[in-house]
Amino acid sequence: MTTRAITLAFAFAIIAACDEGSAPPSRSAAIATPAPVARTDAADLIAKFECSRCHDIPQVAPAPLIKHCVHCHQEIHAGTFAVDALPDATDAPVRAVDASILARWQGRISSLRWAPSLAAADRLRRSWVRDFLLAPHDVRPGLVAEMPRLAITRDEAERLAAHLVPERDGHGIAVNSAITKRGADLYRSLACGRCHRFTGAAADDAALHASGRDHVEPLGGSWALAPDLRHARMRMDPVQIAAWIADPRGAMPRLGIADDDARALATFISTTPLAAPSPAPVIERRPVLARAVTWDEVEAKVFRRVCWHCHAVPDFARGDGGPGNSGGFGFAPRGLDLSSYTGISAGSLDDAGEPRSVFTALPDGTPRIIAHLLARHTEEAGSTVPGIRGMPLGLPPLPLDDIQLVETWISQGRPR
Amino acid sequence: MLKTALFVVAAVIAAEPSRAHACFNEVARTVEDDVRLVQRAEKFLESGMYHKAGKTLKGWKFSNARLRERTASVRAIVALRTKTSNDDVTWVVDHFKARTESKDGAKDMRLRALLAEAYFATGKTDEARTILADLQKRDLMPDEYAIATLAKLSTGTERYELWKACRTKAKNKEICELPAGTVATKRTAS
Repeated sequence: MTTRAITLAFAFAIIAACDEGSAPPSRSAAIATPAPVARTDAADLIAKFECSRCHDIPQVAPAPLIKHCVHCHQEIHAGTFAVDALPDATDAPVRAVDASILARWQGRISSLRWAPSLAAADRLRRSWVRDFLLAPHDVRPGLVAEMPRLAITRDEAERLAAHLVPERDGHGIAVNSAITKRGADLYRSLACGRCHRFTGAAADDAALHASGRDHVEPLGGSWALAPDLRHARMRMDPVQIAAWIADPRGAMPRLGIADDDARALATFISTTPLAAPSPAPVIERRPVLARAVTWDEVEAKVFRRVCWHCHAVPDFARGDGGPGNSGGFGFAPRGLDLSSYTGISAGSLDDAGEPRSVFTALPDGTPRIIAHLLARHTEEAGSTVPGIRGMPLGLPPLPLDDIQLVETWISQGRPR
Repeated sequence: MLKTALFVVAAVIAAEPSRAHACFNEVARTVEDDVRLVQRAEKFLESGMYHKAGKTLKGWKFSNARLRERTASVRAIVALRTKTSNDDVTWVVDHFKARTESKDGAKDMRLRALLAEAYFATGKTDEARTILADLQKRDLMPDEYAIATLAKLSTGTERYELWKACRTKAKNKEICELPAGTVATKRTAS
């Protein structure tokens, strides 16, 4: 993906240089849009992967609140969370969640407060959507969570992409230095960098972006949802970028600029040279600690903080135990309960649905659960580990200190 | 009146902030008194406070099937681990046998270990050993109770290794105690 981005950036830069001073053609052969493919229905896949637990999708009802990650978090932060969404009533009357408890939750919940609406996915390149589904990466630096790495086949990704992105006869935009400069000027004067990073571009301003969080986030996720514009030329053809700027939907604010200016901005975003991305940091697995580590410590610092949300036990509070226990997002049930000592010790279910230990050493000697935690670092660095899905799914990797703590606990015989 | 008082007591005990980050798990835990009551009893179990666990649920009946099942399991574990020589805990075997044969419990190794523990307590040592040896082989022993039970059913080096593993894992080392003179050192066992 990175190589493609660099190649495209290089190509655009050459095109821009060649066109300097020439009259803009009405249609650029160099900035071509992909060949259209017929739109297909993929309701079965949307249901299978439970896309509506995070995304708003046209003609698809959102998941009920008890399963909707984003709506649940939004209601908690808005103070409007209602407990009547709980399933089957019990003997005791259900009381409202009081303000102090809501405040406690509000202080903890930083992830999945927003997710992009798929109503706006139709502006994207279909091939990019397919590739993104197969190998998701961080597109929106303001979001804590990112698209999870699903157990999706190429055929399923093709079908979903075809469903989300309509058939379109795209056109390129004329490129010349004047329009590119105009776009660069607009980028600065409109302070696009307050919401957007543009990593690798000279226009990127990390400090301005950071300052935007306090100004823009309270308005409803505009800052959080703003993509890193480095990816824009891969995600959208320039015509779609211009159309989006001129007539945005969702969290993107309406700028009120003329169509020519929208095209200039789109050209700048699509063609400005990009530096190669920073090399991914080397993952240095820490040696086990010399001091004693108990379950109480790893539970408090790791499992209850992060893992329990998806790997709980259905019995605990009459829930479903989370997708990491009873299945979800297209994953089969794993039966993994990380909420108790006996739960983690009792293992998970393998691909055949048979119990297996999460501590089993893999061929290189790494305990399985540690391999999953380290694999998330590898995924963040733009790669994958065959046969091992990085955990926590779609969330930032655990700090290496935390992984070291868990590995130490395992190496010491897993004391209570 | 008594029910109200129990609610108040349960609410006060449960007032300490939860460390849970889960949404609806925590919602149910926080706002539903009956769920909290069962969880309180389970917490006592986890800490080895069996009499307190039993007392917490004494007299309670729930209409919710899942809570009824959990309550029955708490009572079964209490009976199993506070058993005196005169107590008949055959019903505990029946309870965990039914749970391990249920759709939800078939793949739960904790329930299988508890069934083995119950088999052992009722003298069905072969059945207990078969289950626990399988769990041990697959590194799926859920807790020190299961390990201690298998240690009691083992001899020689195996017994020693299990005794050692039990002591490593257990906070309360008494759980791992074996009859005096029956734990050989590694050297003498081999």
